[in-house]
Order: sequence, then structure tokens, then C-alpha cells
Amino acid sequence: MDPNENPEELVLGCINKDRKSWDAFVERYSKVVYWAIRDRLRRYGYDHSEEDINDIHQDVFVALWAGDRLKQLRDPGKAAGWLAMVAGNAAIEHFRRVRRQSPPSSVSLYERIYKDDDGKTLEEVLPSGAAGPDRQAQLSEARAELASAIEGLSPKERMAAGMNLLHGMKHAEIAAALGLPVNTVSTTVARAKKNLKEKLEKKRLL
Amino acid sequence: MKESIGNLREVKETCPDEAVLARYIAGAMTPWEKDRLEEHASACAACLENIRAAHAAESMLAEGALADTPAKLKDKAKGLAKMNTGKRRMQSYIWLAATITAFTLSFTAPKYFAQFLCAALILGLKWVSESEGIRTLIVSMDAKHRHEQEKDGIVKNRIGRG
Repeated sequence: MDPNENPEELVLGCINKDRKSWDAFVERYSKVVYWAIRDRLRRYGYDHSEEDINDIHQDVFVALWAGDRLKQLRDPGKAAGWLAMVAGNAAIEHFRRVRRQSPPSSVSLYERIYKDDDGKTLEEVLPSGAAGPDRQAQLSEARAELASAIEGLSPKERMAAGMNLLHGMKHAEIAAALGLPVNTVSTTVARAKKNLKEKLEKKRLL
Repeated sequence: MKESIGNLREVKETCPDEAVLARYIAGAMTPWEKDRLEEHASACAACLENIRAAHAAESMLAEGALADTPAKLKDKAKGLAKMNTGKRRMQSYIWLAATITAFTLSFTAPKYFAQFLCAALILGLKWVSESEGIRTLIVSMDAKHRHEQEKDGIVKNRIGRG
């Protein structure tokens, strides 16, 4: 089968264990798998080597060929997106299983809001009067307040805020992902940030 | 206590799998399914990360912005299809059986002890060399096994929720 043939036939050929289809599939999508593994490991801050990437790359293709994972792909036209998710998750699974490492936890979304605007973390902007356990209690209270504030947003607004603040997606990319107009996304993100700040200020935590 | 979004980075059992997320991205869900998924994804950094990666991969592939994979890696992945697992395993078993037979004969026919032992050694080496794909085979079987376990897990979850 020619690599330029449509993805549906390519995927079907691989499911039916046609070697030519498989060669064309690897030729076409290997770069997606390779990119997705590197991307996930880099974004999650894993200390990794080229050997790790090679092992995970092979594991993904073994799962696709011998593990019949391709049967799960319902829309072969969107194979690249699906493969990127499979490869990214395989990278995390590899580190969890082989290296016994869980994904490093990130700065929470709410704290990131402050880091984005002022270049400072939530901890840094809290009044510095309290120390020791009092300081920790103050920090916990601020985090709980932020968590309750974001719960007031709709799921779609929370997704938009998370995609922008936590995952660094641009407004246009979020708009495409959520099927919303770009202006709506911009307004939603700005509103989420403003609400959270106001909530903290009202509680005199800032 | 409810976890904050930024700390949920690992895919959990309750997370939708890649096929479900792909349906969401493709806009192929019913409004009810979409609402449920958004409710989950809005509080799950791992799912948001998957959605981000899927979008980025689709657009980068379409724009031709992805760097090609090293040829060695592609060849290794292509090589998986050359593995006729059933036939290969059978060949491996034949060599193993011949090794065991020669080894047993070396004791049952003491007159030819050295000859049979030597034959067992040669046949054993042949068995090892024929089994060069064994690691890949084990990995393949493991992948298949894990995939089946995942499916079992999903079914158990559904039963549990039901």
C-alpha cells in the first residue's frame, strides 16, 4: 500500500496484519510518536535519555502491532492526535513501571495565575508577617479559597483557564479545541483570573 | 479534600481513554457525553494535557512541522511485522526439544555420552540463536496481556458504576 493512501485504509491494513500497510504506517506516524514522547517527558520535567525515548517508541509500536491497540482507534482520520495521546501516556507509564517514578506534581493552576502576572508564586505574594506553622496555615487557606473560587466557573471555563494557564495553550488553540470563538476564550481566561484575585483580596489573603 | 487541578498529572482509572478523548476532539460526542467529559477534564490536568498534545500533533503533522524519526527506530518498528510469532515459536520449540532429547540420550546411551552431549550443546546454541526475537516476543505478549487487563479494568469499572 502506498504511504499516501488514505489513513482509513492504512489503519485497516495494519489491523489485518498487512506488512506493507504497517511499513507505510510507521513511515507516516513514527514522527508523531517520537515527538509526543519527547514533548511529554520534557513538559513533565522527567530526567530522560535518548535510550528512554527509543524504548518507549518501540513499546508504543509493539502495542499497536502485537497488542492490537489500533482496533481502539475509531476515527483513523485523526490518527495523529490519538497516537500523540497514546505515546504521551506510554511515556509516563514507562517511567512509572521501569523507573518507578510518578509524574512530578506541578504548581497548581491557581498559583500559576500569580506567577504569570507578577512573576511570583502565591507563597511569595502572601504577606510575610506570619512564620512557621502560621505561614503554612495561611497558604493552605489561600489555596482552599482559590479552589472554591474556580469551582464557580463552568466546566468549559475551567478547561479554558487550565489549558491557558497550566498548559500554555494559546487562545486560538483553545478555541479550536473547545469549539469556542477566540474572543470568548480570551474573555473567559481574563474573567477567571480576575475572579480569583478578587476572591483572595476580599478574604484579605493578599 | 478535593485535589487542585495542577496536581492531577497522572492518568487515573476514572480518566477517559484516548479513544474517548479522540471522539471529544473530533466533536463526535452527544451533548450529554460532552458535558460529562468536560466536567471531568476541567479538573484533570492529565486529560487536558492529552487534549493539548492531540491538537498540537494534528496541526504539526498537517503543517509538516515534525522532525523525522531516526531511521534506526523506524526500521526497528517496521521489523515487528516480520515476526511470524507462531512459526517462530514452533521452530524454537523444535530446537529445544532436540536439545533435551540429545541431553537425555547422552545418559541413556553411555557409550556415546560425549557425542550426545556435544550434540546437545550445538542444538542448545541453535535454540538460543533462533530465540533472538524472544525478547520482542515477550514484550509483544506483555503488551497484549496488558491491553486485555486494561479492557477488564474498564468493564469492571462500568459494572461498579452501574
